[in-house]
Amino acid sequence: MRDKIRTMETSAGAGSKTFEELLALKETVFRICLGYVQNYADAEDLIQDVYLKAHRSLNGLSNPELGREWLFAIARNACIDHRRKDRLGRLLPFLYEKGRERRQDPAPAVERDERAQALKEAVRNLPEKLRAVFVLHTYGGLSYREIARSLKIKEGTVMSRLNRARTGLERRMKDNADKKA
Amino acid sequence: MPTRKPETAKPGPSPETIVKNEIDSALSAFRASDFEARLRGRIRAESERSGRSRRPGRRSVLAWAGLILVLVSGVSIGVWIRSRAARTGTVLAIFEAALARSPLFRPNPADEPAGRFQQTASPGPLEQTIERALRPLFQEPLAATPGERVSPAPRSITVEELDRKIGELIKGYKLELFFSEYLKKEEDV
Repeated sequence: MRDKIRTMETSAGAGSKTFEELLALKETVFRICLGYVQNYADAEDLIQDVYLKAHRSLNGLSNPELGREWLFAIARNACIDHRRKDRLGRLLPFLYEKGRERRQDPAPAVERDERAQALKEAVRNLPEKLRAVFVLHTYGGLSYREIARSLKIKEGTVMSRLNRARTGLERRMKDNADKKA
Repeated sequence: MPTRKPETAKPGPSPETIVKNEIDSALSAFRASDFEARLRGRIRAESERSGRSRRPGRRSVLAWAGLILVLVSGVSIGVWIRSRAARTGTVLAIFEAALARSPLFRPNPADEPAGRFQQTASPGPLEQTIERALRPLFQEPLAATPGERVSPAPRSITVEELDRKIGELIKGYKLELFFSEYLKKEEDV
């Protein structure tokens, strides 16, 4: 019995240590969330949800060495869910408007920049596969290898998708600028 | 006079540069926020909530859902009975009608008076003729010819004798017409 209690205490301690390790990645997770939602307030809310989910399902993490990729996958899924809800909220505003307040983005200089706005719009409109690679690399600062492990694809695929994403973004931004001109 | 260079469109910053600026500005705000304090508060509140839900005597969501379902079903059945009672008269009549319709509660036909549950179609002309022809057998005393008593056929009687005896009985009761075909066949044989 004593052994069992000791094992439980050890696993709880290990879980808490793992969580602290994951907490050290908060800035990377925040950057990923920001890349997906393109809005500071939403990213700040999302990162709370991501860490809450991670805390809840910490016992399900079989290999703590893959904690980074696991956390990034949770963040990505949370962002995709958020996007889905956001779309639904636009269709059915009475479902999601309540209790939802838009906070002021603390990056007014960037907001005012037309080119930055066009980039945000272009990132939002990228196909999911390309967006995931672009956000994880450009916003999250993840290496090709980490992205490949997180998305369960080959490194070569990561590179080609990133290239396609960049080309697509530049084309969209150029189209946007031409329209305005 | 210095010549003025033609104005060319200044290329904007690359997407990476824009993203970097955005991240820098957002990260400084994020660092200043109370992210960790809020998160720890939420985790604590959640664990307290889950601890409360594990307390004995506290019903789970499933139990509440079941209870509500039973209540709603009960109320719906009550409303249905009331509406039926308003139409048919009494509550008892509804149950009687339901029992009469149900195959589970249908009474055993053997226990019922004949004809109530096993009503057959009205008899056809052939059945009527047979009934008319045989009726005297059950109304008059058994006799080969009127006034003559019939003794029971012994076990040792042969088929021919039995046949003859039946023929006499038929003749005695004027059933020749009904069994004419049979008698004719017998004569042919």
